[in-house]
Amino acid sequence: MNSMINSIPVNNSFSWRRFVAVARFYYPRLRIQILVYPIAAVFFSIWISVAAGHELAELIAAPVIMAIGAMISFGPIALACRKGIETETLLPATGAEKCTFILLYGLIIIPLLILLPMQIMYFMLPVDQSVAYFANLIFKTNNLVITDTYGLSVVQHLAPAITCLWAVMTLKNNRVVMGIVWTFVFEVITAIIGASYGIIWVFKKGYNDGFSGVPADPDAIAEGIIEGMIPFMIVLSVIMIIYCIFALVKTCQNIKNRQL
Amino acid sequence: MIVLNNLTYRYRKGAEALTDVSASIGSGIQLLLGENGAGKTTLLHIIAGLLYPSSGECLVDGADISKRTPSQLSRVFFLGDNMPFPAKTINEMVRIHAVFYPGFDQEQLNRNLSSFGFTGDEPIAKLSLGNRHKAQVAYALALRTDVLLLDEPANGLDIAAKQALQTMIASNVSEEQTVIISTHTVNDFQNLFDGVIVLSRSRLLLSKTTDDIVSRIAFRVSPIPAVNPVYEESRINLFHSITENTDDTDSDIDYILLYNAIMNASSRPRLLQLLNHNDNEQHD
Repeated sequence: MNSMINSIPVNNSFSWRRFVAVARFYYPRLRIQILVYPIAAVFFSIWISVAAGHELAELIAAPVIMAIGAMISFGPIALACRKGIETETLLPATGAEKCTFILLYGLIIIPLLILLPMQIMYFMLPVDQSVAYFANLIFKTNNLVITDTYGLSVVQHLAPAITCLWAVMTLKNNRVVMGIVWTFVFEVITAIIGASYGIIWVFKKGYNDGFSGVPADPDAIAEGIIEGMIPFMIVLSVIMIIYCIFALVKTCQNIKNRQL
Repeated sequence: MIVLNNLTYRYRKGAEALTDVSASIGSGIQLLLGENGAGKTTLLHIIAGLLYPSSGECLVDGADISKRTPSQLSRVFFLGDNMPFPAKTINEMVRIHAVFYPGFDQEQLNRNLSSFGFTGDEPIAKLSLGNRHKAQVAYALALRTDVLLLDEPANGLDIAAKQALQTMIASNVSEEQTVIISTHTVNDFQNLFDGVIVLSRSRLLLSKTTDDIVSRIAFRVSPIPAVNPVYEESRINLFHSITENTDDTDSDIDYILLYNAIMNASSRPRLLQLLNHNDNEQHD
């Protein structure tokens, strides 16, 4: 039996060979993303390099930053193949093998598909010294996974992707559309929370009446705002970590126990 | 062997799709009958492990299928009605999916596909409904799982394809395998079945082997009405009847007649009593 096919061992403990087979099972629905994302990353790198030399550099680079964030946040949608959810649910692999692959792909491989090519391009592309600082800033800001300055922000940036993954692995119908919707809802909620705090904090600081009592220096104001936001950011990041852990646990439960 | 112990499945809103179903389903090809909404697909989903019962248990070869361990899942395959495959072609399905099933037989698949005129490289999405079913059933049979669950496998097939499918199932299924076929077009697989399972309104009415059935009741066709039939209906000037088998008559099961008799409120009690007679004594 199983002639001409190398079947994998049938046991109930974690098997790396079966893990690889799980990856191969998902590959057909992921191959377009695996191809498109690095190409897009190279394109973005070139875009940013060109933008760095322009007087409207930040405005030109902004769509790229947004696109990168969206590609990471919504990337797990690729796992929501419309076809074969029954076959996927009943795939003879352990829950641990399925979870490991899905989390690995959704939260690590997808960001790396973008960020690694960008990092490589950053070192390869000739960048004029006068704009090196700007380009460096853009690339450093986008190095979410390998940042060494704002470690907690990694969680904040991956939280939308975790939300997307949770939705995709929980829902039975309209997984693509609802995955996008729930991720968008999450982003909007966190943005509203952040913006609300920022506005309240700014008014409490006395910036509402033409900066009375505060030096009318934009950089000083910006620095003051950032300083004031740091405690909030820390609290938000801790909450995000708790949320992410909860969402990951629920995602794994739904992968293992999905019913149709 | 599939063992159902007091299986109940309840929807979130409280309605029961299956109510206290208990049965032992042995090897062979089993026919699953029931009206629309009887619970047939729910039962297949539970046996496959796609659904967890609200109460009770479903054991496949002694193990609770709801645990979804690889060793259990590799022994069961469910092919639903109009169920898409996560692959573009059957050959791609083999590459990404068949490796999980140690019993998969590539040569058997090639034979199955060629009997329908396929190579396995046809894009599944571009096939007609009937052709898609053929390719999928060909693949499902080649997996050679201990338990194979087919929900309306003949749906959309033309007459020749139904005959080919019947032949394929008969030649592919081994004595140790359990195949449960849920179908409304019973006549398409008339001579295939080793057992019959009948559900009605979420309850199990009958689970018997065909040998057991024909040893207890006889199916007769006659131009004159039968004497004291359990159930009788007239079709094109002939009387098709079910009577108690008192003289060890060997007759072919008329599944439609049997189903109609079970669904008929007046004939059902007597029919089920005849069919379950010795079972009741054993329970007592």
